Amino acid sequence: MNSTQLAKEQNKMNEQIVLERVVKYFVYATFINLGAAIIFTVPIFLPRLQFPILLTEWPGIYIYIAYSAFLIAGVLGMLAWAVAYYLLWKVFNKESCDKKILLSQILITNIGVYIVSGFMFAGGYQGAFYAHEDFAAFIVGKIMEATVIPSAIGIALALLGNVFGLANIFFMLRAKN
Amino acid sequence: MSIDRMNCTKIYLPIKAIVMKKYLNRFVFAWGGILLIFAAIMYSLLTELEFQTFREDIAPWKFLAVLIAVTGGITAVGGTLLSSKTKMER
Repeated sequence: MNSTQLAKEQNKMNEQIVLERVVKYFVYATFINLGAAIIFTVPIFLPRLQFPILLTEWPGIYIYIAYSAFLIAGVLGMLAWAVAYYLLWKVFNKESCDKKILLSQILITNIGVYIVSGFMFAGGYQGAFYAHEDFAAFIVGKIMEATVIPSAIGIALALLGNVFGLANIFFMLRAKN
Repeated sequence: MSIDRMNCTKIYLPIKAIVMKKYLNRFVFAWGGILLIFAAIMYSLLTELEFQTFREDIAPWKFLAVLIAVTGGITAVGGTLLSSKTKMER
């Protein structure tokens, strides 16, 4: 092996991250998001926020959707990625994956999940509050409009993060061990 | 054996820097492309939303899409320039 090949090989090793650590990162992300989910659930006990009655109003469904999206993509999604990378490590005998793509995946997915959950919750809560105050449906819709585009951007970011994950898996499967 | 290793280390360090840079540039260029595609899709969807709903608050979001496109363009061009610099260094 000449020096250029050696340098390339060494460089490749620097740009890679071992899958054991990747699995740990995703499990940490799962626990962090689970903690966040517990914190997000606590305000339901505060009487001044009127959650039990607002959840029964029409736009309150967006509160459910936001919370479900957070649990599905933020908590279970991270756990699913941990399992996926664990299987690639143990079943497919892959040792490492691209560090930059992986970090992009974790960051973008989580940012997207927090944006979509936050804005969808805000829209749903505002809408339910004003609907409960007997505001007209048109006005309630107008109030909620501001949160639509940020929610869409959050969904797009979460999807992009998952595409990064798929790309990473594709490159891993294509690479020779 | 030890002499071989020493020689390798001497040659290896500058080459490693160049190769790493090349790899980074490819990544930067890819990120620029992703941002450009993201911005283009965002702009077209916002235009469609504007025609369908007649909302008045779309303009700032369209401006954001343009900003993302400009950022993507600069990032992609930056990646290309760094890449050509790497070739010159070689």
